[in-house]
Amino acid sequence: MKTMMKCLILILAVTLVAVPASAMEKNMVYSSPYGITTLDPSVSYSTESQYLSNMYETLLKVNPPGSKAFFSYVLATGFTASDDGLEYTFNLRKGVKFHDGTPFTAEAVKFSIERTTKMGKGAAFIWGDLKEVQVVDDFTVKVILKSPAPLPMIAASADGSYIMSPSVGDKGQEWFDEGNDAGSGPYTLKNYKSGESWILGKFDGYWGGWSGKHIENILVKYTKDGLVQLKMLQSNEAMLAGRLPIDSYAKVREADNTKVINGPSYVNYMAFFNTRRPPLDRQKVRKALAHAIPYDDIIKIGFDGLATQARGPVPKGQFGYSEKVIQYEYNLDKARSLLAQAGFPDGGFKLTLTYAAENVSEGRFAPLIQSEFKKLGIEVEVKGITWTQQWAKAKGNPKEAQDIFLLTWWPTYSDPYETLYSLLHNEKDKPVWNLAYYVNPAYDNMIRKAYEMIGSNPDGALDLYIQAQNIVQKDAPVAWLADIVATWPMNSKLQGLVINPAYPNTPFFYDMYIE
Amino acid sequence: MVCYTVNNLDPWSISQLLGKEPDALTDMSLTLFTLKRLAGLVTLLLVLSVLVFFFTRAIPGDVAALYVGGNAKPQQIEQARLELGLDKPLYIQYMRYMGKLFQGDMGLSLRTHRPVLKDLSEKIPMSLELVLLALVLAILLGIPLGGLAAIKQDSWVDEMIKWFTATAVSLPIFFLALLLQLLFFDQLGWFPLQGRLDSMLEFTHPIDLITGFSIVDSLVSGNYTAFFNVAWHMVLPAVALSLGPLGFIARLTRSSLLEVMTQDYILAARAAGISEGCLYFRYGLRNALSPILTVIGLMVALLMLNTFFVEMIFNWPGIGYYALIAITSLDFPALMGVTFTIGTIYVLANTATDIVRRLVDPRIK
Repeated sequence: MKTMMKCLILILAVTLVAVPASAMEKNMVYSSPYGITTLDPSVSYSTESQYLSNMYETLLKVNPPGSKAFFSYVLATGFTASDDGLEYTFNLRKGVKFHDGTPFTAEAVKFSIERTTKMGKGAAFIWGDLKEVQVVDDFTVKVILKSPAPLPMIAASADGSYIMSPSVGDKGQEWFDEGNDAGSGPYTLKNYKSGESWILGKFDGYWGGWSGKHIENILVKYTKDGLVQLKMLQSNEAMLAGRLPIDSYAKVREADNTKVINGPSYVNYMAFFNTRRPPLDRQKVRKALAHAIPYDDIIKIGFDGLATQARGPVPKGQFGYSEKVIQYEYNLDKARSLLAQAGFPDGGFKLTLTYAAENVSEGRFAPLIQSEFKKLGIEVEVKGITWTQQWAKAKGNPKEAQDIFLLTWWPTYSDPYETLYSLLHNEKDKPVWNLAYYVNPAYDNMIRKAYEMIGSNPDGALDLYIQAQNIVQKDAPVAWLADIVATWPMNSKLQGLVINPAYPNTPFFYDMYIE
Repeated sequence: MVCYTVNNLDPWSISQLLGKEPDALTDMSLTLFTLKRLAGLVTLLLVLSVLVFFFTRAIPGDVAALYVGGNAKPQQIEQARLELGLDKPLYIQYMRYMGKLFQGDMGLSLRTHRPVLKDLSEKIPMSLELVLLALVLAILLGIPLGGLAAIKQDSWVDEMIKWFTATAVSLPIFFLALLLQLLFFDQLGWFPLQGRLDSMLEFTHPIDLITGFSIVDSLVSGNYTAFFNVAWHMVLPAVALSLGPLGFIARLTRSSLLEVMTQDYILAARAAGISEGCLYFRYGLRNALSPILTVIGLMVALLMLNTFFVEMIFNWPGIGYYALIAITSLDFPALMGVTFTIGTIYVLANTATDIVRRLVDPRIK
């Protein structure tokens, strides 16, 4: 009995001293609500991109707004474009190795892009204008397009542009989803337990080297519940958390051991007006409603002040955003006069507004819209339903759909075309994202023209993008509500996290260290 | 004590002594009994499959769009629709699903994109270790507590136990779990907040996957640091899970035992001079056990459902956590898988308790 007790005490003692202090400085725990849908870099198009971005690299990376250069070179060291914008030649970095030991060459670029386009899943659509990838020599690759497209931005996309080891060969999605990776990034995936935890561990052979201050191992604890994340952060169990309950940020900001970092994001919120259903089929009514939305209150209540009023579909900081785009301000008098001109001097109609019940912000600000519209004599029925139900209903017959649809949106790559096209181009009888059911051929032509011009004449393209946005603003099929500020709650000792809106929700761990 | 002198004085022989005709022993062998139960299981699962399949599909939501995820493009959604066979009529989809199910294929989860069977095989052991621990706690503490209340009937001890069990039964599980967390993590700091293992031990002492039961795996692989850590992490969620069943078992034991104690054979045994403690715990309890055992079968199902709340609150990566996320993301194949699993566990647990009841009380058919 005594021996057993001794053994027990010994084991307990071992447990208590098991974690050496030095391990803490190089390792960290990230309490993350962002799950993994797939680990296949060709298919990934969801929240897992924040982990893949630490395991895989792209040819180029878009720098955060305010940087000297637009791009950083990652696996490429430079590129040139032909005058017609149909051929791009990339020079590639030497001395790079994939996690499996295979050296990085032009073959890998060709293999990766072809694998992604061939599979045609996830964000593969970004390569829609691709004709061919040619290997010029080991460290030069030529990408040929069918029609002009902003290829450097596509090559720097947050999804669908990862370069992987050609040793992947015929292996499919299942191989990756077992917890394997084939990247060249600073971290490699270890101990993958789906839906529970995984480790992004240091890759010794990383071309960037490990001198200087870096985090070496990150344990990602998948934690869906915001309250649990908060407690893990407060008790120093986690160094970084993903998404806390909205009302807890102030507490985290003030506490000694925790802080909140803010930065730009390309995530924006909008309200689609159903342009096929009366009375919102009248432009003046839509304009009146755009003036009746309490933008400042929405930012205060819905986002705890961490947002700015949106100015059109392109979020602040992204190429295509401009102060020249018309912005609707909150002005009930203007709204009343526009309603009177449309034949509704005292309102007198009813509208339904749907939002995704799981979106906390939308749930908080939807009633604000309701109460302002009431002042104009417009009754709004606010319906919080699950996102899938909300979206399924909106994709049905527009005449029987909701009147107002709240949506959260973020772009895949740093060109406004994807957003402008997805949200507002004519989807004919099959609405997917154009949930205002807006149709304007002049607009459709203009954004396509801008997209094709971007490589050869960026200034001209920008001008067209601004004009196109103003066409939309004059028709007011959508009220652009808020561009939100990205927030990262973390331990006070954690340093180096740079918020880059081109890669939403992505902490680049290699830049980070513990003080 | 005189217990040993009346070893053959079990209820069976007592009823014979008292001249009563015992219920005829059933001819059906245990094997046949089990087989019958398993046939019942298949029927139950078929009914469940129809209900879950058609109900979940009646909820609005575009399965193909969910599968693709992100800001999916129309063409991709259509492609996924074809790939998943969602363009076919619902009854054909059902037939296909069932056809695959018989080959052990539960389809792909819309959320994790992994085979549902694989996901479940990882999650089930994690929940079972919590559920089994909770069940053991509930039985080991609930039966003696109920017995004590019966012996001390109407005394202050009985009154205290009544209060305790009433509270245990009526507290909502999520509230209880949060309360335990608040008290033992936030205030006292005695137990960890969440998870199976201290985060730092995931780096230094990761558990090798052998059986999927973390407590067994850590022990078998000699990873004692992890073993004690896992055990420490299991305390709060297991206690949260066990309190309700514990209260229920204690109350049932008390009432069942009190009823049994008024039976003729107990009077006869008492007249034979057997001590009270021996009467209650040896002769009384054995006969009072039958209804309790029936309830334990039901408890397993209840505990499995309660893992939905407890696992979310304690971030325990079991089937409850998996199911809850499947529900919120309308992951139909995963939901079907979870329903089948819980249905199967329910039937198996009930069959097992019935077998034990037959062993304890051979009068049961």
